[in-house]
Amino acid sequence: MSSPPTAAPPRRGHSWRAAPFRTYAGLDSLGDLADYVRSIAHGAALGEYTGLRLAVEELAVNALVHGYGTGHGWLMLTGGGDRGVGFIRLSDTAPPFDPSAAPARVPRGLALRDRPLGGLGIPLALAGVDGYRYEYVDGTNRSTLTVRRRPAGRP
Amino acid sequence: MPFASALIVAEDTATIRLVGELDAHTAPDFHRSIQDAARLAIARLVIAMDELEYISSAGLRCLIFARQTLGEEVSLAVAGARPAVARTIRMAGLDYGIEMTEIDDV
Repeated sequence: MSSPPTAAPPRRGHSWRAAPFRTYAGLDSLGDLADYVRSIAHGAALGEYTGLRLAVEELAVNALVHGYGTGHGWLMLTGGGDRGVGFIRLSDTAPPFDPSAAPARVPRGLALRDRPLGGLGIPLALAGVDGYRYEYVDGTNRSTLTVRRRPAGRP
Repeated sequence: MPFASALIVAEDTATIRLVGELDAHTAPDFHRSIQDAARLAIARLVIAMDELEYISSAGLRCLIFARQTLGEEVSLAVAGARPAVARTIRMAGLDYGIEMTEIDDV
């Protein structure tokens, strides 16, 4: 497993790209993914970035556990920023799966005793970002997540 | 900060104190703490989250598991959740079934 690259500090307000991060990941690699998200959020001056982190982690765990089926597999992160927007693209080579086509609603009307234990990951992922796009290209699932910069103090 | 989940029992209240980041890798430790608490004769389980920095769906799943595992007569509360953690809990709609309190209230 490799360590996330350290992105060169971007000039704020300008389009920039961080170095890609490619890793043979397991659930014990989530901290490395979080470090990459943190570097993009910092570079894009996003402020609060829990939603972006949730999105990357939930989609990554979904790919590792359900896509590859073993809890391990290749993941690649690329990211950057442009005029008040930060983005991260998560790629995996598991079988095709479009998260945006999956049921993505939190079952708020159900009592906790009646709620299923699973199924929260993708709704949380999609709710935590401002934009989401899925593509399947050359045998690769690509999820592109975008988050707008928010004024300080706003979630 | 490394993740830790510690179970503390005082009279009829059990407290699980969480520290660090609760994700798919660390959630099994929290799950085991809940299982241990559920075996006790308690009236209340408090999940102390004032030192928890992050929670993912794996941690939320543990909270649902706690509510479903504890007896009807056992109350369940999350105490002291930081804003980002509390926001994630609310996004999942768990604040409707779990009492959310300040850490000083427990």
